[in-house]
Amino acid sequence: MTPPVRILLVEDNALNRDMLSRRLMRRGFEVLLALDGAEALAITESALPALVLMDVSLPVLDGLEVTRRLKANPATSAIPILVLTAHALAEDRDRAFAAGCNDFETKPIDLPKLLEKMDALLTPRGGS
Amino acid sequence: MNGSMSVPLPLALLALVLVVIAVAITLSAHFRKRERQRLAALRAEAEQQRRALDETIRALASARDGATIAQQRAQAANKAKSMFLANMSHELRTPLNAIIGYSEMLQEDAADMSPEEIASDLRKVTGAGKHLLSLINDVLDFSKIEAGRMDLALEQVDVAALVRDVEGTASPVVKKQGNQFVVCTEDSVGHLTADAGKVRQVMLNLLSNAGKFTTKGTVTLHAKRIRRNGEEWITLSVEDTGVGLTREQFGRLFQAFAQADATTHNQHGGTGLGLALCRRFCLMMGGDIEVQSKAGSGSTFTVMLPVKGPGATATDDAAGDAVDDAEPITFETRMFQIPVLPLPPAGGTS
Repeated sequence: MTPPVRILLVEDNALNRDMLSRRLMRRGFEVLLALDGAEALAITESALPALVLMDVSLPVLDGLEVTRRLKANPATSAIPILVLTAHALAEDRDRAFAAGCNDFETKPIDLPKLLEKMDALLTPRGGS
Repeated sequence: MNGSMSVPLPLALLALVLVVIAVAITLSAHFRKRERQRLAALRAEAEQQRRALDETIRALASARDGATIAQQRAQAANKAKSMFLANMSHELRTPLNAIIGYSEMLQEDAADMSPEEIASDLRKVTGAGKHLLSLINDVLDFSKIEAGRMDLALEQVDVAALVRDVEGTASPVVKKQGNQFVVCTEDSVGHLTADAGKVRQVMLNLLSNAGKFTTKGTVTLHAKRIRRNGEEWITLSVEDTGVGLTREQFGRLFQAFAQADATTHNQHGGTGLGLALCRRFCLMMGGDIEVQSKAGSGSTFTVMLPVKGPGATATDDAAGDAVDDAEPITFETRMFQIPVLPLPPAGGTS
């Protein structure tokens, strides 16, 4: 039996954090939680999750700044970051990709679509 | 005989020549004078035309400046409108994410969940739904005000009773972060003519803000009756010992969606419309909101309402008009701008 894939969910909204983490755990993921940008940075650096689901509007440091820093750090730059945000404009998407994220999904979350994107980011680890 | 009266011919000729010269001089002087007058008239006319031209140029310049200002305002309004829509989209998506997420999860997992767990998740759906409703109500209130269709239900309001009611409702929110809630109503407050629902809405908003931006501090609600400029006013002040406001935040305080900064929103939530609405309501009721604050040492928001109600005082501004009254209420943030709503007729902390 393969060990569960460990991911980090960065989300400051309690309801959305509870909801999404439970749905992901139910699907076999091990879900670490970060409530703000500084936590996201620290946990990613220490726990090296297989994937980060990153909210954008966050206290302390916003998700895009965290993304930039993680991508600039050789120790964490290979960790795929999927930005998950209620900022749904084309500019928001452009900004997220400019910050270095690997993919982008808007809220409300379409779970099958999100899982598909997560799967795509997790599968070619070390391959592509 | 023929020689007695005769004048010698040369003399006669000389006289004639002198007369002709005299006439010529006179005529020349006359014509020169006429010419001078004509020139003067022409100069006066030219001067007049020059002045008219100057006037036209000035008018054109002023019209151009006016058009530039109007264009800038329109651009600013358009930008505010786009920002309003972007913010609104973000605001609505956040509770919707919870509603859709929890309800999908319940459909998937209900069979494995206890009734308590199901009820707990359903309460979250309800909570997110209510938040969504309050957002929509704020937007509707805003659009009604912008369209001039917000009506006041004026009545005699018992201030002490209103304060008690507000205290009861706001208490959990105010005390949430370990704050003390002190309420002080002076015996003399009596009644005022106002829309009780709107006053209540304003006070709940201010108290909820005070609670959000204060941790382990004190929030004080103080109701007083005062005289200012010969009029009687009710003041309802909400004082907190929280984070306070910087000068920059101060200026944008009453603009829609102008929360202190992006992280303020993330930490404290809110629709970003609350304070803008509060101020509009107070203006409609003939009053205003006064703010005193210092970053790091708390804020005091004071609602001032005329006892006689709207129309009875000098500050009878229609909501939505900028307040430019000379004196009655010293509103410390006069630089505020009324935002424009992105709705057919027509961008704080909440």
